Amino acid sequence: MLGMVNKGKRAALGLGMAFALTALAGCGGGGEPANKPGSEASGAKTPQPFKISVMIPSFQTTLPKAESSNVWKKIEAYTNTKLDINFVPNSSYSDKMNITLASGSMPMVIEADPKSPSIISAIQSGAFWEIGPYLKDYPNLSKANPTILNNISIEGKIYGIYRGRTLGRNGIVYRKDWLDNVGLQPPKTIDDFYNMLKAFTLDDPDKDGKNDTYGMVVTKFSGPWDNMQVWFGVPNKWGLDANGKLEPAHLFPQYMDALKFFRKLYSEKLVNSDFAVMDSAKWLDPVVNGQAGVIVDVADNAGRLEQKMATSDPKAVIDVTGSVEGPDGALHNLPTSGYSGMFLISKSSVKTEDDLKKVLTFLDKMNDDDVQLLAGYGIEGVNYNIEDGKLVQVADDNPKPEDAFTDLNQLLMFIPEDPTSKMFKPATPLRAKVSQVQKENEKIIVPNPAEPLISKTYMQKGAQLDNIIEDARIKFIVGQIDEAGFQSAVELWKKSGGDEYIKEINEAYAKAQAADGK
Amino acid sequence: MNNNTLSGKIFDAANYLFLGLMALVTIFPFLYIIAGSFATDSELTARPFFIIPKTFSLNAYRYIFSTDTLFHSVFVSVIITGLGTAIDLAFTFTMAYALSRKQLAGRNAVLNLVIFSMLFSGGLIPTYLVVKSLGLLDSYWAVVLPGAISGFNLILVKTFFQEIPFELQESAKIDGCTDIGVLWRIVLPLSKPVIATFALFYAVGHWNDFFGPLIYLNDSSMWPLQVVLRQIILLSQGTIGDPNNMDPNFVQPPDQAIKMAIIIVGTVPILLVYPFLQKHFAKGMMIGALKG
Repeated sequence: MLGMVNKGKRAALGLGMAFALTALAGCGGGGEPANKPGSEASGAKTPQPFKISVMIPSFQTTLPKAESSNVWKKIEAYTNTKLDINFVPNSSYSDKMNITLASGSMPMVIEADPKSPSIISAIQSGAFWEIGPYLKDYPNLSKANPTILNNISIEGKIYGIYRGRTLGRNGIVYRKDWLDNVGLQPPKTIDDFYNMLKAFTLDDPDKDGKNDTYGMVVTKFSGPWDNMQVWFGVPNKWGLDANGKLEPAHLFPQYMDALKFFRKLYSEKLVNSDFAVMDSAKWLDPVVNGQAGVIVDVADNAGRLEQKMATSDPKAVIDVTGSVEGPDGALHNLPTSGYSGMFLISKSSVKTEDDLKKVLTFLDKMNDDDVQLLAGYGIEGVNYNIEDGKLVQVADDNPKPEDAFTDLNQLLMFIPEDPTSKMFKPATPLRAKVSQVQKENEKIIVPNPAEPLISKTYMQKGAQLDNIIEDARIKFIVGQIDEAGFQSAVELWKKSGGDEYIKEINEAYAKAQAADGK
Repeated sequence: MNNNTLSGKIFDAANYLFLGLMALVTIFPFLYIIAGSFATDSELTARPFFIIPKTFSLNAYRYIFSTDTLFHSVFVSVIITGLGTAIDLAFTFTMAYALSRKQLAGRNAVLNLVIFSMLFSGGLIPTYLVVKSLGLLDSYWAVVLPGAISGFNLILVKTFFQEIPFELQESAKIDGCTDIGVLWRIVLPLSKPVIATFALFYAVGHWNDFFGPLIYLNDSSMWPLQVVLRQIILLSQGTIGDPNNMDPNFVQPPDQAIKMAIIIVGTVPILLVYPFLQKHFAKGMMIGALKG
């Protein structure tokens, strides 16, 4: 679960310092109505609050309520709306969404995964507004990241406002103290990386005289392999071949190079041999227990590990790096899709263009720094305090209903960006480094050109198709099949629908290119 | 079965051994959960399996009872289970009794309808639409009413009622009892084991139900225990929050020990019901099994 990068990731929580807090306290940044609820009653110029119904996922057991939550009221006052929020437990969000879609009574704004088949077919049948053309009219929304907009678009059109997440999130997390013990430098190339794993396995990096360590933990989650193969120059799911046609990653020659490397790691026992069945919830455990030294996954694991190691082995030093140089001498990093769901606006509940603009104004205002802070962190003096210029959240064992706000951060979109990264000072130097690594990753990410393209074959058979390659990859790594065996799996993939899939993606690509050219 | 011969003894020994092993296999995971809920988190990561924790800690329980959310949801679950079971029993037993009387007109037609509903159900979305248009959304009625009668249980109870000698009921009638009176004074007292059995079936069903409340109840203060439980257990670390900027002292999301403690809290109350019904339960099951 650790690796399921975006799905269900809650809005970024952070702690830190003053800039925005003073802005909020001093009611700066144009946030006037927020602190003067009285003016709204008396002021004739304030229009009636606009009523908006929203459906978003929840992760808590105590949810904020309109009639009691102070943060809720402040957000309403700031955006001049009346919010009717339907929180749905995230674990059953898709069930509830499908029922809502089918029952016909949709909330005005609904958070949904733009790539889920039921949403795609609802979009194609015209259930939601196409909002792409309107974005330019709004100060925050107009600054949306083009890569992410491309990722969420469907057949070249934008139907929703994404909830932004870190794009360059992945990295290599390793035990710096072990690396020093075996006398190596932090890895710069794939060879360095290999040597590090080898030394962690064979050279007794923990200096206890026993051969009880290994290099890298991998679980049944395929993320680490996907991450590492990109270092070799393999595209992110789809890439352009010499003829300018899109081809899936496993048809590129570099893919085989990467697979052979993985096989070497496995046969030399540099990774745990039970990786294909290991539960990803236990991913960090071998590192925490001092058995393994490297994890290739989201870089922010570093902070999590540092915190866990503080009790199990205080001498441990964790370090992080974004990527290592591939055979082509360049750095590549596998990006996330950059979003976690998007807000769709229903045509059946938002009937006129006028109302649509009001909803968009609300969503735009939710991106103002003041509101982001409010929805993400609550109210100063109640939910957080400033100590030594750093924001410290109030640990509240028994939150009162009027202080409940935590799931309101599900309304945040972080467009153009999450203000907290520049507002707050990270708690530890390592966490500062993680932020820096992730920021730098954005320069070396390998986007997936086929991300916005839809293939009918893939919608029907995608799971089987992916399984064929996934199985073959694992079998190749553990040595159950050879190169020819892998090729026959690729043939099976092609015959089972892969050929049509490639054809459909290329047709969609040509269509999108033509639309762009216009 | 014969304990005197050698082969009989071997057979018995093998049986005991096999059944004992099965019992151990089923009980060990549960013991592990109990032990884990009292262990520290570092022990849970370090030791793969144990049934006695090295360091005994109540932190997990302290954490989950630090807010009144869990208490509240247990209370809600008790209400739903109590109310739901009472409604289920009342509806199932009255209908089963009526259907067990041969003189009821249209008996077969009604029975066929019941059987039809057992084979074909409307499905999730039509059910949701019915509940919605009846205005039951966001009320506990939405959880307890739609499944009030289980067709399968109804037929079992009906069959049981038919086994009660009709002459007994007739004589009560002659003594001046009404139909309701016969049910209340004669039939129900004779059916205590059956009532206990089906009460347990229904109660466990209501206690464990999370999907209904999830779909029909939007207000988090109405959630029963199972929904809260699911919400907490599925919150795995790493998928919530971006810890980059987080203070090291920030309260961590629920970890392993907390999940285990919550499982215990969710399971123990309904387990406690069983011993009280056990005597009747065994009898009730036998009545269902020995026909004619």
